[in-house]
Amino acid sequence: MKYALRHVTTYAYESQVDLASHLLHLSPRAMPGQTVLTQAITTDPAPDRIAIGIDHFGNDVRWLFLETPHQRFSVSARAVVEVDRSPPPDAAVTPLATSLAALASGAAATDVAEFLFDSPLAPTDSTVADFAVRFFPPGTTTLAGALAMMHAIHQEFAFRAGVTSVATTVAQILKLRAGVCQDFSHLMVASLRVAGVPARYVSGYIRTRPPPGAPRRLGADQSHAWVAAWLGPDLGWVELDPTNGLIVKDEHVVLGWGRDFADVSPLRGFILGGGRHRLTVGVDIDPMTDAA
Amino acid sequence: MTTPPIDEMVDGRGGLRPHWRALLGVFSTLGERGLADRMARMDEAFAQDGITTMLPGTDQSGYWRCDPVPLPLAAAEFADLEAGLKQRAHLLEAILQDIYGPQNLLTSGLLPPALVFTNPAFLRPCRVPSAEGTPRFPLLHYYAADLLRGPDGAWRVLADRTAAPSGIAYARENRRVLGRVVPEAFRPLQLRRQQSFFDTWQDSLQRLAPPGRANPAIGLLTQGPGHAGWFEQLQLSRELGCTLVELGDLSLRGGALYLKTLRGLQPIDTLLRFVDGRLIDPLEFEAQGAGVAGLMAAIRARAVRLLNDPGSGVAEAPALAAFLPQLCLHLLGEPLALASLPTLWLGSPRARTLVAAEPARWLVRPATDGKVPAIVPADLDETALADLTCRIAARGWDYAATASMPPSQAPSVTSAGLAPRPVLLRMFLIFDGQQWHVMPGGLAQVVDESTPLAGKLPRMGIAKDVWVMAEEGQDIVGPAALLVPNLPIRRAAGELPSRVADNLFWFGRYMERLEDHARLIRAALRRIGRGTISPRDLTELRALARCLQGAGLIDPAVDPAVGSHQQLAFALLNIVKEGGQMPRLLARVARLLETVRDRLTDDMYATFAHMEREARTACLTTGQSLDRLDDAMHVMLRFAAAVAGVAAENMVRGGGWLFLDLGRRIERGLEISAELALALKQPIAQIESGLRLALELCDSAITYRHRYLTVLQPAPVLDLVLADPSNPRALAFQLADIATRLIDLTGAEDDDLVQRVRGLQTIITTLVADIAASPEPASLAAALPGSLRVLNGDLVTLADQLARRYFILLPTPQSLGMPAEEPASLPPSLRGAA
Repeated sequence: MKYALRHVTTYAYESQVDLASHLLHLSPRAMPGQTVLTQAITTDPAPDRIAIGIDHFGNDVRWLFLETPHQRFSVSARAVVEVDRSPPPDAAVTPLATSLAALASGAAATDVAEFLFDSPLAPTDSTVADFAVRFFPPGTTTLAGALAMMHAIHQEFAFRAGVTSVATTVAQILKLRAGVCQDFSHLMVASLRVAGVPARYVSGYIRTRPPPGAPRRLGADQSHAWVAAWLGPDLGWVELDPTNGLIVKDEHVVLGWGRDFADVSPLRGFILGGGRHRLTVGVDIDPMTDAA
Repeated sequence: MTTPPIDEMVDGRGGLRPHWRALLGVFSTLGERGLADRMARMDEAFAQDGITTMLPGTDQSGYWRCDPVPLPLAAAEFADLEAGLKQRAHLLEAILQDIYGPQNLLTSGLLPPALVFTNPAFLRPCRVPSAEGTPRFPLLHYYAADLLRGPDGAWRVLADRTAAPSGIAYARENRRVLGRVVPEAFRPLQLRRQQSFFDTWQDSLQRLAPPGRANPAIGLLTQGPGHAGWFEQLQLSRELGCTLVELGDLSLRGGALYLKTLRGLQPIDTLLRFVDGRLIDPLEFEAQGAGVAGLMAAIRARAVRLLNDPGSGVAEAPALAAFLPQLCLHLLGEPLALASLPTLWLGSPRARTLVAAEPARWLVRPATDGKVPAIVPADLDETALADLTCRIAARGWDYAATASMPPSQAPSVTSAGLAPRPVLLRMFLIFDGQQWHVMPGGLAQVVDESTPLAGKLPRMGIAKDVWVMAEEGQDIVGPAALLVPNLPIRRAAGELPSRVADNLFWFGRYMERLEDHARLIRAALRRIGRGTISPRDLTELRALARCLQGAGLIDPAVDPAVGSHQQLAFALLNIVKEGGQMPRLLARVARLLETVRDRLTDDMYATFAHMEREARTACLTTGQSLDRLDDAMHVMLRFAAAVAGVAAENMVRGGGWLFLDLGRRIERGLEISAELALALKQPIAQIESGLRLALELCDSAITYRHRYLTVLQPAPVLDLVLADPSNPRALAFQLADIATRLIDLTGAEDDDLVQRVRGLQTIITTLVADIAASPEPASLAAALPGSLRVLNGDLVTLADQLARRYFILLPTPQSLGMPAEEPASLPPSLRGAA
């Protein structure tokens, strides 16, 4: 499926901003099952300086520095991306969850092993361990357990904006039984890690209008988040969307991944001045017909 | 413990080691009394110079202590350590290059991923993925190792300090003070010089600057006063000739880093980092603070260099020691010359079995944090041990075990004379771009035998100077050359960071305020002390009470006439009580004194700090005695006079002094105008009382008497306290001085602030001239308070404009789109303001 993607973020400041620095994770990531055909990021006003690079996780990063006073700042990211993930393997053939930690060596020691451990925004404690153990009774294969966990989160937790913040801990989400995509993803990566499954936090988008006949997806119209679980060196990663109870196939576009939100927040900044600000975000992801 | 610790003094055959023999000769002739005396003199010297410990975990008010008996190292022994430490430094750099680069050590299985990825000091933004090139070089520039000598006589490394090691300035102070207190100990021995090490360090900072900088500007990045290491960083910045900067002093423009100074932004190229890497850039690290957004990007672009690199602390992980022998073979192709204490990483099942089998042999430490004291399994009760075993079984990768080994013992001064005490040794290295240099010396610590060994310097330990013996032909030094005079700092006004100017300005203001308060209190005491109060005295007391109320020192409800002025006396005593206005003002003075310490000579600082303590003690021991209150105010006035005198005599007339003086003059101007307005607020019939008080408050009574004898008339009095430009207590004098300082700063006679001051000068001249020319001077004088209040308001505005021009540089920083969506630092209020 080919998508046209548009993500516009606007900050309207109460007073003049003298200096601003912004760090962007806004470029779709090229990866197996996702081809980036075109992409461009424009801002208004234009920055005085731009730096581009690749972060520790291999994501594209862009730094924008504004040294000219401004009272409004708008970032617009556009891209055309083709997505088509290969279907996940049969859950029964995936490795036992308990065997994965030992498998995360060799080449996997750098890009997989890291996702076995707690991260600042997805710490684990005994409540998380209790939650995770439900899905991984002895002898459970990785994908079987991960799918069960995903469906449980989808069914047992209410999607509700405004009840959580980025500071909400995984343990609090377990108590609240509600949250948004970010919370469910943090809960799921933490729980998978406790069970010994390397798990990434994936940042991106889900298509705005669902395919014909499908229900409207949660987390559209804005930045979305889901998780990727590792199925061993042969099978690699599978992406799971606990917010919608979906295995990622062709409705998601990946921006990048990290241990949790803080590693890949789409847009973070630091400004001097500005007073209060008003933030507006608009995301549109629509399938492109071949004629377009 | 089966093997007894080794004694530093004796060789393997029970004989005295030669370098100890000479030393012991010196100390044994001193006798027990003599030793105790030298120890006391060492303590005194550190206290006098204001050398505080401020090591993490120590009492911040404590002074540094150093044993008069040094720890000597034989030339050959040092040479071995030197070679081993250099190799180790090379190895750690190579490991850092890999961790922050391709991470081949992880994929090849030589280093467990957990040691890197669970380490909070592994800073992901510092990594340079292979696609982006190679990491910066060097990542490690300044390195220290903690060592102990085991029962077999071999030195082993207990901890590697790769983040921002502390202690080197203390080592320097130990040597300096020892040279002063025990000069005779230096005579029989030939020591290696340390100066060339610091010279090399200074040169290498220049050499390691970003490419293309002909004359790089170097700063020492400190967290500032009140943080551990402040004293040390202060000393080091002087030693290395670099500017002491805080994160708040820095700003990025056009991708380059600048220091905010009075002359605007001045480029800065290299920072010797003594601040946690996670605090430097709020854009890239989770920690919120006064960092510089975009600093990491500037480091990446090689526009600025931080030494050590922000992520260098990852190599401090205690568990890393378990892997160093293999890593050394793999990375350097040679065996590790200087071993660590036997160490196990408990992420490995085999290691866990070893520890479980013999818990008494091991000390357990966090795998990645070298600053946490070790747990001694042998000391734990059954439940605690079971709990520890359980935690290790669940998260073994979080733990390391280090073999417990008794450190060697060296003769140390104790309450019972010389006795052997266990010692640890910290040694320091720097990299000049090509090779490593080891400081010939170090910092030894006498440790409490019960202290579990950890990477951290032991709490409240006594230090020892470390003497490296010179071989024939090596540079040597005697005690005379050790006495380095304290050099005053010279800096041009423009280089003065705005923060420092701000602090000096407020230091000047508070010192002046202190003097004024003391003067007011004494004036009131003098009248209370006269027993029966005349109506004239009561009039003056009422005016004084108004002044004291205006200064916020006493409650407006206090009436001097009530209860034969018991009420006023009680209120005055309250000012100096704990938590009262005076001790609070002194505390602010002390805090500011610490912040401007790098602008003062050691002697000046020591003098001021001593007098401030004396003043605070005088306040707090006043009790209910009015006589003692009077004495305390005398101490206060002496303190203020000493600061004014020492500043006038000893401070270079650069930016620092200009702001100190500006602060003082503004404050005095504010006080004169406010207090004269209150003193002269009298019915015309009693204007004489007001005039007498005006002379007293402006300390001008004697001058007046010399000029006019005892006749009190409005025009001459007001001329003396307001318009006389030659009277340093007159308002006109303050204004003239402020104008001069402003011209010094701006170089412009027509500066708008200067013009404003000139305007005020004219107003005063006219006011006094009108009174002199008037047939009814008394009624004009009685009408003065209104004009004085307006003048006071103008001075407040002037102070505010000064602050805006020189101190408040940037608005409040705030973060967007991040976890803590709140202002990341304090609002830009005036530092030091009440």
